[in-house]
This record gives sequence, structure tokens and C-alpha cells, in this order.
Amino acid sequence: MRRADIGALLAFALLGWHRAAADRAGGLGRLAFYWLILLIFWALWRATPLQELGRPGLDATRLFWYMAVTESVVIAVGFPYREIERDILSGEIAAGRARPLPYAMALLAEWIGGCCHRLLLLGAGGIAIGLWITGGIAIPFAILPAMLLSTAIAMLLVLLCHLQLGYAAAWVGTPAPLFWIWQKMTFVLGGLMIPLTLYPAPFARLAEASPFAAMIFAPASFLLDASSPAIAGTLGLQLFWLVVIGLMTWLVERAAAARFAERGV
Amino acid sequence: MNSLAYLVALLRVNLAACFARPTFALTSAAMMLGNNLIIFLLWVVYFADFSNLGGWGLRDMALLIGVVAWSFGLMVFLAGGLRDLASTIANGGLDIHLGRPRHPLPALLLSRAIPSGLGDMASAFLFWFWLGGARLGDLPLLLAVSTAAAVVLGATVTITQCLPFWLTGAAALSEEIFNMLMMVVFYPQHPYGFLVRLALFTVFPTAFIALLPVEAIRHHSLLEALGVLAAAIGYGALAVHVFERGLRRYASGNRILELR
Repeated sequence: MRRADIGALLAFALLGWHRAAADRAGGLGRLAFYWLILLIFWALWRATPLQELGRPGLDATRLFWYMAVTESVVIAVGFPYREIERDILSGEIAAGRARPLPYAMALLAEWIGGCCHRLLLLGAGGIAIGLWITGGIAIPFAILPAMLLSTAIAMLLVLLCHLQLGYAAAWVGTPAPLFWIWQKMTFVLGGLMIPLTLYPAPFARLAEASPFAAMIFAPASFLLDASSPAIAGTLGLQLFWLVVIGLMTWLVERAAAARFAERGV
Repeated sequence: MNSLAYLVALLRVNLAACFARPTFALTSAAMMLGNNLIIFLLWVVYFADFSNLGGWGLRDMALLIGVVAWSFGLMVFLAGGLRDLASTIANGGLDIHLGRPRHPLPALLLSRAIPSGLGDMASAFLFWFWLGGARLGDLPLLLAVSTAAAVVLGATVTITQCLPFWLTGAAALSEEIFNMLMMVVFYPQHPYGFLVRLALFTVFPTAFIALLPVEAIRHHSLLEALGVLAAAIGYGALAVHVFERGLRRYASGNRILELR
């Protein structure tokens, strides 16, 4: 990649950041959504007979902070696949593909910029509501760097999946049903609501090894197990899935490009 | 042509367009059915660990998901244009509808049918009778409250999609609120405190889409069922009122050229 390309990608990332910052109504909407979800789960976990688990330490407060992390990734990313869907259905993707910088990379850079802004906003909002509800912050300072790195990888993984989902419009027209299934898989196999460690044993192992866990469960898992081997293992698995999903995205993009070349946009 | 015949004609055209690609339509429907079953899996995991959630069990969750799936499916299948309302307003797309002799709202809402809604509607029966343990005799009540819930959902989405009348660049916000709404309705709402419940029965009426219909079925309560029906009428009327108020502020003009 040339220096000019990197500069262009940075410019796209900055554009995404500025667009997210300018979208005040959307930002407030997301923050309200995030707070609402956290309040819902705070109520649900408080109504749950957690003592039935027989695991001291795993209380509503810890589960609240677990959810604050998992939800922040999901909500910060949002539904960007619809941009590609719109570009494909309207034919505007042809203009995007004619530019010197690859369409997918430019879009990904813009999404990353936007997500970083939203993640910052949600992070601040999550800490504020967490402090108000639980009376403290249950995230140990020592795990913060690993958690931030893991969150960044998780976000990148989710964005790559959105790229693939968006490109699916080239084949299915409306990828919404595919998206809903993918989203629910991230909810279940990613441990969005219930930590994967609480799943029945064989199912938990399957879910923890899946890419969905790398997208959602990984950064929040440090709140449940902050040992060095656990952190290293989690980050290693995330990097593995980053390579695999990155490769898959490249293949999907190439297949879509071939389809556009063969059938037109 | 009277109003009912007009609506039927709109629906007929939509259905024909929807099934122009039958394989795609059926695949979309099957995927939504799968999607709902995956959501339910979360609750299977939950109730494997815990005996109840504030008095609710797995069967109650199945009833809830069934009610929401029916109402969401019915809404997007019959009135799929709802989701595009905000962008239509923002892009000046109302011009085309304003040039016609009918009220623009039905044509906007019924501008397309989304076939995946059929999968949602089909999954409702699985959730009610297979996973929720409902009896066949409950079907009229299930259909009545779930259809009324669909009206409340459709009305709420219409109101939120009207935001671009007042707020510049609110199309994205409308989408966020829609997602928020769909997220809340799929979770049980009975453990909440008074203030949250108050919000769910008024400004963010998910209680009429999920909580009250399920409670009406659980208790076989006519009063609770009537509450959902009354909410359907109230929120339906409110949606029309909000749209008409918003329409007075609408000042586009460029798209009228498309009618020439």
C-alpha cells in the first residue's frame, strides 16, 4: 500500500469521525438506546435468582458491567451494511468502485472513524450510568489496556462482517434476513446477554471457539477471568478470527466485483 | 372506488410484487423463522441456569416471542413501506403521493410488502402452540391481541418515522428508535420499576406490543385484551394525527416533476 493510500484511508477515517460527531441526533439516540438496554438488563438481572448458580461473586453488578461492554460494541457499530446495500441497489456503487482507493477499504476506514467516536461516547455514557446504578466501576484498571485492544479487534471483526452482509445485496437484493440471523447468532454465540461461561458445558465450548465470541464475549470476558493466560488466549483467538474473517471479506468482495463485471450494477 | 377497495387493491399489487420472486420470498421467510428460533435459544440457555424470571418461565417467553413475531411480521408484510417513511419525507418523495386524490398515508405504508414477515407470522404458531403450550382454543385471543399489538407497533413506527417533518437529518434517528423499539419488545418487561413501566405504557408503548398481550393470554383476561385493543385504536389515531400535523410543515417540490 502506498503512502498516499494510507493518507486517503486516514482521511476517510477522519470523515467517519466527523460525520458521527455531526450526527448529534443519531448519537443521542444511540446513547439513549444503550442506556435503555442497560436499564432493562439491570432490572432483568436483579429479578433473576442468581443464587441458584452457586457462584459467589457473580452478581447483578458484575453482569451489568459485562453487558455494558458487550452492548457498547454492538451499538457503536450499528447497521452500516445498509450503506452498501443502498449503494448496490441504487447503482451508486459503480461510482465508488471507479475511485482509485478500493471502495470496501474506504468504507471500512470511514466506518472505523465513526465507530471510534460512538464508542467513546458510549464508553463515557456507560460509565456514567454504571456509576449511578451500581455505585462504582467494576472494571479493574489493570485489565483496561487489554480490554481496549480486545474491543478494537471485536469492533473490526463486526465491521468486516457488515461489509460481507452489505455485499450480499449483490446476490439476494435485501440482505436484511441474513443480517437478522447473523445478529441473533452474535447475540447467542457471542454471549451478548448471558456470559458464555454460564452456558451448558458443550455448548459453551462451541460458542467460545466461534467467531461470534471473538466479536462480543472477548472484551467483556476479562471481567470474569482476568488471568494472564485467559487474556492472552482470548486475544490470540481474536487475532486468528481477524485473519480468517478478513480473508473471507476479501473473497466476498472479489466475488461481488466479478458479479458486477459480469451482470452490471 | 371506496376506501376499503382501494386498500385491498394496494395490498393485492404488493403481494403480486412480493411473490414475483417466489424463491427469494420463501427463503426470506424461512430465515426469519430461523432468526426467531435463535432468539428463543437465548432463553433456553437462561432457563437452564435459572428456575424463573420474576415468575415467568420458558413457556411465557415463547408466548412473548410469538406475539412479537406475529405483530412485527404482520406489520412488515402488509405495511413494509413504514420503514421507508422517514427517508421518503426527507428526500421529498411525498410529492408524488400528495398529487393523488387519496390520503397519502395508506399508499405510503402499503407501498411494499416484505416477504420475510411471513416467516415471522408462521413462527408465531410454533412459539404459541409448540413451545408456549397454548391450546387451540386460545387462538382467537392470541390472534386478536397480537394483531392489535401489530397496530400499536405500526402506529409507533409511523410516529417515529414522522420525525423528519420537524428535525433535519432525523431519518437516522428514526431508524435508531425503530431498532430500540424492536430490542425492547423482545425482552420481558414485567420486572421493571414504576417509572420504566410508565414510559412503556405511554411514550414508548412496548408494553402494549409485548407485555400486556402476553399477560392477557397468560391470565385469559378480557380486560387486558381490551386494553391492547384500546391502545391499538388510540395509537393508530395518534399516528394519523401526527402525520397530518407533520404534513403541514412539509415543503418540498422537486419530485412533483416526476408526475409529468
